[in-house]
Amino acid sequence: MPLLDIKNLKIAFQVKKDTDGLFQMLGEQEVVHGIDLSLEKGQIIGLVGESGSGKSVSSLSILKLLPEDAKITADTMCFDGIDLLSQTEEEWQTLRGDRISMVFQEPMTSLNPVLTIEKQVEEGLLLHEEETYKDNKELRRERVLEVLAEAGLSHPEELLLKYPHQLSGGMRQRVMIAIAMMNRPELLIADEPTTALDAATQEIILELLKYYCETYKTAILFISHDLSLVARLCDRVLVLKNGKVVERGTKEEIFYRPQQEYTRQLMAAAKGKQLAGESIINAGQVGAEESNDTPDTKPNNTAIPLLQLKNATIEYREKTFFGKEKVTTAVKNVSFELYKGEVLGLVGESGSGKSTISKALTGLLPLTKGELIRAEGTEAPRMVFQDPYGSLNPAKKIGWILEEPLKIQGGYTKEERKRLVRAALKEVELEEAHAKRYVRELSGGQRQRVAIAAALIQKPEIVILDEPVSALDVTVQGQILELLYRLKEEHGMSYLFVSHDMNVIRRVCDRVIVLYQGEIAETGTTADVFERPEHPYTKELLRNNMDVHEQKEKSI
Amino acid sequence: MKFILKRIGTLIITLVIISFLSFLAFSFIPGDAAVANLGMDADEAAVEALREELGLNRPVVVQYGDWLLSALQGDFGESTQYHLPVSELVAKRLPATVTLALYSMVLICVISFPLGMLGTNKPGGAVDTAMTVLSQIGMAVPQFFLGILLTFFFGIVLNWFTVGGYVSPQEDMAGFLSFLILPAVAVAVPKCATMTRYIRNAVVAQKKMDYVRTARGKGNSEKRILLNHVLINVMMPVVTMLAMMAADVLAGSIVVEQVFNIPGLGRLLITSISNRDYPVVQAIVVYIASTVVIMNTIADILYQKLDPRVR
Repeated sequence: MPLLDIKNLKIAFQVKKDTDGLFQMLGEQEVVHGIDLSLEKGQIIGLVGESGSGKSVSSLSILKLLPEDAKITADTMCFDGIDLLSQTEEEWQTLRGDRISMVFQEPMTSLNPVLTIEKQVEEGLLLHEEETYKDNKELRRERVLEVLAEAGLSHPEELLLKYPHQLSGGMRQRVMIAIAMMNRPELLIADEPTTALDAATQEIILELLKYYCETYKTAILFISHDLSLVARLCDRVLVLKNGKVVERGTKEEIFYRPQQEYTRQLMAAAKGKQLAGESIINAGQVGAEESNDTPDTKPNNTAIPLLQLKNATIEYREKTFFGKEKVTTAVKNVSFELYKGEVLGLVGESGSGKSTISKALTGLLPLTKGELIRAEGTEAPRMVFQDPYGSLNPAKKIGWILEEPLKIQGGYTKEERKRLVRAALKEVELEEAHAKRYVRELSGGQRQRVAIAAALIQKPEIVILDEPVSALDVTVQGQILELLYRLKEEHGMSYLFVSHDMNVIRRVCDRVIVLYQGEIAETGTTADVFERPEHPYTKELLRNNMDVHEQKEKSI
Repeated sequence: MKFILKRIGTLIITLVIISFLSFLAFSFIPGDAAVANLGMDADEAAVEALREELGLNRPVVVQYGDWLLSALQGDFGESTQYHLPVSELVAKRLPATVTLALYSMVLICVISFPLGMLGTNKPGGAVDTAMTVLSQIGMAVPQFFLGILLTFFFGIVLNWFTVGGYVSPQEDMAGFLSFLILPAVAVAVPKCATMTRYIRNAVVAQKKMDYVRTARGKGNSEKRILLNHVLINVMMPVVTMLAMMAADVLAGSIVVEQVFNIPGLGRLLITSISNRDYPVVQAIVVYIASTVVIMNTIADILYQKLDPRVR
C-alpha cells in the first residue's frame, strides 16, 4: 500500500459571479480536474507546472490548508490508510507537523516575524510531544539545536534568540525545513522551497532534502515550476497543466522521451533555450555582428557612452543618536559604460550591490565617491521593478498609473495623454480596455507589461530592468523577454538588465558585469563570460545554473 | 536606551512648543484677565493698573518666559477667578478626571480584545456580522446621549445611585469609585466599538498571512494560532491606536463630566474659559497636551519592544 494514495482529486473554489449589480451569484470554479498521485515511503516525486496549473492547490489540499471555501473531492485520498477526506479538525491537528509536514516558498513571510527562532522551532515539540517536553526546557533546547544543526546551520546556538529578519534567505529556509523535520514526518511536502533563493543556496537546499530522504526514509512531494531542479531531486515526475496531469513518468522518461509538447516547452525553458527565447538570442547575436558596420550600435571605444559610471563607491550611513556613524560599503570602486542600443547585464547574488547600483543610476541614491556621467541630452533612466504588484498603486486604475508621469512632466493636453496611454498599452500588447482595470485584476505577466508601459511612456533612452522576469512563470518570462527585445529594437533604447538568473542573462544580454560583494568580479561579452569564465565566483554561478542536460547525464 | 532618551527629548520640545502656542493664542483673544476681573464697565485707569500689577503689559515672549520658569518649579500662577494657586485648583480636580480616564481605558482594553477576536474564525459568518452591526451602533451613539441614557436607566429607573451625587475620594473612596463606573462606561462604549472593529480587522488581516499557514501546518489549533501567533502581531498597531485613543478619552471625559455633574478638570476648563481665567486654562492645556504626548511616547517605546524588526 502506498504511503499517500490519491485518486481523481478535484478541487473547486467558490467564486462570486457578477450579475447585474445588486445580486452576486455564488458559483463554483474547478481548478483541479481529477489528479491521481501515489507516493511510496522514501520516494521523491516532483510536481511540475506553471502557476495556475493547480500544483500548489493540490499539495495544500493534502494537509487541508486551503481556504474554507475550497471544495475538495476525490475517489480516494488516503495517507497510510487514513482517509484524509473524513478527518476532523482535531485529527488534522495531530497529523499536521507530526506525520506530514510542509515547507513553503517564501521563508520570510512563512515565519512569524515577531517570534524568536527558538520559539518557532520548539513549537512542534510542544504540540506533538507535550508530555516529554512541556516542563523540560533543557531537553527542548537540546532537540532544537539538534534539528537546526541537522538542517546545516552552523552555530545554531547563536540563532535561538534571533528573529527571522536577522537571517539570510537561505538560513530562513533551513530553519523552515528544520521546523518541518522536527518530528521526523513520513511525508514532507515542499512547495517551491527554493524559488525565492539564489542559485548557490538552491543547490544546498536540494542536497538537504536528499539527505532527509535517505536518512529517515522521508517521502517528499516536491513542487516546482523548474524542471531542472526536479530532474536533480526526484524519482518520478508529474507534469501539471491547467489542473490536469498532462504527463507522468520516471525522471528518465520525462527528460529523454517527453511525449507532450508542453513538457518539451517546460524543458526548453529550464534549459535557458526556450523556444520563444530562441529568437532573442539569435536576433541579439545577429544584431551584434551587424553592428560592425553600424558604429552607433556597437559598444566600441570610439562611441560615446550614454551613461558612464567612474570609480563609484556607495556607502550607507546610519546615524546613531550621539552622532556616531555606522558605514556599510555596498559598492566599491565600480566603473562601467552603457552604450546606445546595448543590453548590459548586471549579475550577482542578493547583497552583491546590484540594486544599489541601479538606484544610484536613477538618482535615487547619491554616490559617495566617483562620478556618474550622462551623455548630453540624455535623461535619467527609467526603472522596471521585479514585483509589479508591489510597485504599482493598487487603488488606481491602469490608465491613471500610465498617465501620471505625463501629468508630472506637463505639456500634454488631456487628449494627448489618453492617446499616449492607448499607444503604450498597444505597444506592450495589452488591450485598450485594460486602462479601466485595477492592478489586482491582471495576471503577473500583464502587470509586468503595465510596468514596462509605465517606464516607456516618456520615451526614455535608458531603462533599468531590475529582475523584471524573476517573479514570472517560464513561458510568461519568454514572452516578456521577447517584448522587451522588440521594444528595444523599435525605440533604440539601451537596457541595464539586473538579474541573479544566469539563464535569463545569457538570453538577453550583449555584455555582462558580474558583481561580487560590491565589486566587479568579471566583465566581458556574454559569450566570453559564459564560455570562458575566469573569476571563481562566475564559475560557481554558472555551475549552479547548469543545464538540465548536463545534470541529467550526471544523475543517470 | 538611546531611543528612549531621544523620545524624551522630543517630548520636552513638543511640550514647550504647545504651551507657547496656547500662550500666544490667549494673547490674541480680545479681553483679558484684568477686564474679566473688574467687569466690562470698570474704570479704564483701574483696568490699566491691574494689568500693570498682573504683568499683562509686557511682551508675550517675556510673559511666557516668566510663566515657563515658574511652571518648571511647579508654580502655574494664580487663578484670576478663584484667587487660588492654579496648582492647588488643578490638584483638587485631577483625581476625578484621571480616575475616569483610567477606568475608561481599562474598560476599553477588557472589552475590545475578546469582542474583537470573536467571530474572526469565520469572517462574514453570523457571529462576525452580528459584531459588525453591534460595533456600528456603538460607534454611532454620542457620548453625552449615552450618558443621559445611563443616568436615566440606572439612576432613575433602577435607582442604583443618586443622580449627580458625586462624592469626593477623601469622603468615601468606595462611593467615589462606584459613582465613576457609569461615566466611564459612557466614555468607553464608543471607543470600545471602534477598537473592537480595529482589532477584528487586524486579526482577519493577520490570519491571511503566510506564517499563519505555517502555524496551521505545524498542527496548531485555531485557538492556539490566535493566541500564540496572531495576537502579538496584532498588538503592534493596536498599541499605537490605544495611545491615540487615550487623547480621545480625555476629550470625551470633558463632555461626560458635564452630563454626570463631576467636578473634574473638564468642568474647570469650561468655567475658566468663560471667565478668561487664562492661568488655569493654560495649565489644563499643558496637562492635556502632556498626557497625549506622553501616551504616544509610551506607545512608541512599547512598539519598539514588541517589534524586533525596528529594534
